[in-house]
Amino acid sequence: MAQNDDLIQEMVQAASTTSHAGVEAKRSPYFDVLTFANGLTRDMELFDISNETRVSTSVDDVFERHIKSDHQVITTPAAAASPEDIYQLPTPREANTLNYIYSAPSIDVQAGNYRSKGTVLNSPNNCFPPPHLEFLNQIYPHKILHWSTALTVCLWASSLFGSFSAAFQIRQPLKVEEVEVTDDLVLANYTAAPTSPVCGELDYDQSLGGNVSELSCRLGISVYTSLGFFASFSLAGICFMGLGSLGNYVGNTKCYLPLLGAFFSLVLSFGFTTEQELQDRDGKVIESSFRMMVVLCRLLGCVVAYFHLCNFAAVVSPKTEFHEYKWGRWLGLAPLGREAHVKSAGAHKVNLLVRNAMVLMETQGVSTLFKTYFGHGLSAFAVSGTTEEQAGSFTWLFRKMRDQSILKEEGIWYSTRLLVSVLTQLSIALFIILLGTSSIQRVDEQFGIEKAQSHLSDALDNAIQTSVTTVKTTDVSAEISKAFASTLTSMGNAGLFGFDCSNTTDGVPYVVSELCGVSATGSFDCSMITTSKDSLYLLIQNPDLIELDTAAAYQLLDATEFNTTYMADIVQEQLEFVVNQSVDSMYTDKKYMVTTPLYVAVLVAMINALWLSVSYIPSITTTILELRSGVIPSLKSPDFEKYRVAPDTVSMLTGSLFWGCLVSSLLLGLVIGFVVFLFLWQGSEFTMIRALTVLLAAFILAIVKVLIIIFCCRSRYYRGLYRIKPAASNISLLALERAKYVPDCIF
Amino acid sequence: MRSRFGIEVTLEEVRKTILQGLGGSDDEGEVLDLMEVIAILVIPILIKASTLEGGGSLPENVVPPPENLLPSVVRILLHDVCGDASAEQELSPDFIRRMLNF
Repeated sequence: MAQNDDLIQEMVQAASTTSHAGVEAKRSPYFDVLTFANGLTRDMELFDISNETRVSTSVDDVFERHIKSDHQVITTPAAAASPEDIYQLPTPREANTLNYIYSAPSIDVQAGNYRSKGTVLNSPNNCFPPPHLEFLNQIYPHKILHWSTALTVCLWASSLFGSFSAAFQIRQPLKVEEVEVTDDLVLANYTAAPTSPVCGELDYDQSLGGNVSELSCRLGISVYTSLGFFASFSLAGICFMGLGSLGNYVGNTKCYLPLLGAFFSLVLSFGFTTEQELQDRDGKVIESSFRMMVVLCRLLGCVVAYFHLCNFAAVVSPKTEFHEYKWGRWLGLAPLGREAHVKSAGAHKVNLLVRNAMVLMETQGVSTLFKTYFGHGLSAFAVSGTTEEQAGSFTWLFRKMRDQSILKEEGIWYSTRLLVSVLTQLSIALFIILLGTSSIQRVDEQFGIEKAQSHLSDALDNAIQTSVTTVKTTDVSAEISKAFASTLTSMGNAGLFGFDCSNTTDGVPYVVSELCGVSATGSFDCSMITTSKDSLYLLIQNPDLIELDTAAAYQLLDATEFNTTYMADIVQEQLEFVVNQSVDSMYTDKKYMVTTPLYVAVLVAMINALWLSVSYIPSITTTILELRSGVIPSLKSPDFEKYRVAPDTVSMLTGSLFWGCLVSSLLLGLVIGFVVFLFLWQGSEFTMIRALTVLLAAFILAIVKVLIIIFCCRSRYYRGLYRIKPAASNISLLALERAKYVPDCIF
Repeated sequence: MRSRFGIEVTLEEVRKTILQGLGGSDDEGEVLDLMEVIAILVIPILIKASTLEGGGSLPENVVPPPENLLPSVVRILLHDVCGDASAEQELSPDFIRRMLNF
């Protein structure tokens, strides 16, 4: 470049002359600030500094603002003398041959449909709409952008509430038994019937191999049901978002589209939640949370319709500037203000870049060998070229949002999807409150120790009676008799009864083989023994009979007039008494033992949901900053190829944020609530207090240990990394090392 | 090329608009090098500084450039090229040539 004499001459001429109203004037012949500034910017006179504050897109600034419609020929002063160097700019139409394809802009939540990228607005102060939008010159509704984000967020929330309220309507989904296609949206018909007309009953006496067909059938139904849910939610989402957002995009000029959008948003929000759905199958009013969900769906549907009507008014009356009114500005309805923020943020970034460079040049270098600023700059950059700035924390973001510098200086804004996700997480917190208070209220109303005990006792009595009755009617009764006879025999042999079984009244020993008949198979038949005394003595005298011939022993036991039914009744009574006593002792004594954990669980779950929702925006802000600063690699990320071929994975975000917030909140609430319950329940109260004392002791021990380490070991035995008392430091280190096996290390 | 906003731009259009204006030509091999990208970024701030040095004022709400930007650069250039930042240096082709060769 230095060898190009013509270029050098042009540089000198550009720097040493200035132009006002087309008249060139000679400036200072010396190289000073003015000539330097003139030389730097002489060929950039068309650049309008006020572009930075114009509510327009960069595309408009570059391709429209500086290119005159009369096919202007722009020349530099040097070029004026050199016709061959004339730089001829293309006409606007030549420069703006951008072709648009239909991209379903009203549902373009990925790109963020509130942005006007690639388009410009036609405000009175913005004189150059691009040619491809020239036909919109008079009626281009830039105000539509005001409500675009709010409309999309409300519509999305309304569709979610509508979908979930429809899903709530499905009763007992796990008991789906028969499937039939009814319409486009409802693919599965759920019944509570315990029998399946489609799949056979499972035979629990057989192994899995014997139930292959039934299991396969049920698997097919499960898959079909899941597909039904998937299709229902997808179709509902497309219907809600597609039809409900008609006309909600930048370039819309058709006034009937917002009206259609309003119509569909109302129809869908009210159609998904009919009055019939507000009642359960028994005709009772359903839970308040579900009712609230229905109300929210309809309310948000009305809000969406209102925004559509605003858009309709903007299309019909394009000259009305809503942002000129105080309420319009208060609602943040400034037209395309965010686009101006982008350019403002860019200016701040470049300012920061230049300021850093200036500070670097003034920084003390590592060496005085460099005699030029250039060398000094290189030296200073090696030493202090990297600086760190604390950014991205919660307070940082709050401060930046309060003074709006997050938009104007940092240039960060948040997509519609992000706002929708935050809204759904906030709705989760709301529903946790509603569900929790409803549950607590129900417990509060229905809690009664006597009532609960009575219900529980009746249930247990029924279970025990059923079991004992079954015992009576089965061979197990023989086992009871056998056990009783065995005990009787043992007691008789031990002489506890005081019986003398050595001889009968006629002097014959009580030998079974002699007194009872013996069949051909070798089994005994003691039916001829009819007296209870003889039967009892036979049992006591022949203890092996119980193992040898259980039936004969049972005959003899029956002959002793031992009432097995009465015995079973006694067992039943005792069993019921013991079980009831055990259950009663485990039942919560006081109401607060149940309600307090519920309160804690609801509070913890709600706080968790709120915390997740409020921390999501700071989190995404930090991620943006890390991506900008290179902490998170983008194109050089090892997973970039994976991201590149799967752009659809971004669709997982909203759902995962919803379910992640819900599940984590509920789990955390349940865990904390269960721990609180263990502290309050009389069955575990003392155990938990003992555990708490252990933990408290470990905590105190940890504090004591830290104090000892700080005030004894570190201060007396060390100076920095050097030991001033080697022996003492070695002993203390060994002691501390061994002490790490004590559980206080968890602190 | 097609953006996610539905804008279709041909390679010829990129060459005629972006490369021609910012890269210097619309040849096949024309690229935007790092210095050109930096120059694109700092053009607005240079114009702002030039306006202020020339006695002008900036429009309302425009972010002002860092103070003393151009005098600092001039001082650096004079020091490194001429060895004396305070000396008056005639604006000549030779000086420009020395500056570019530095």
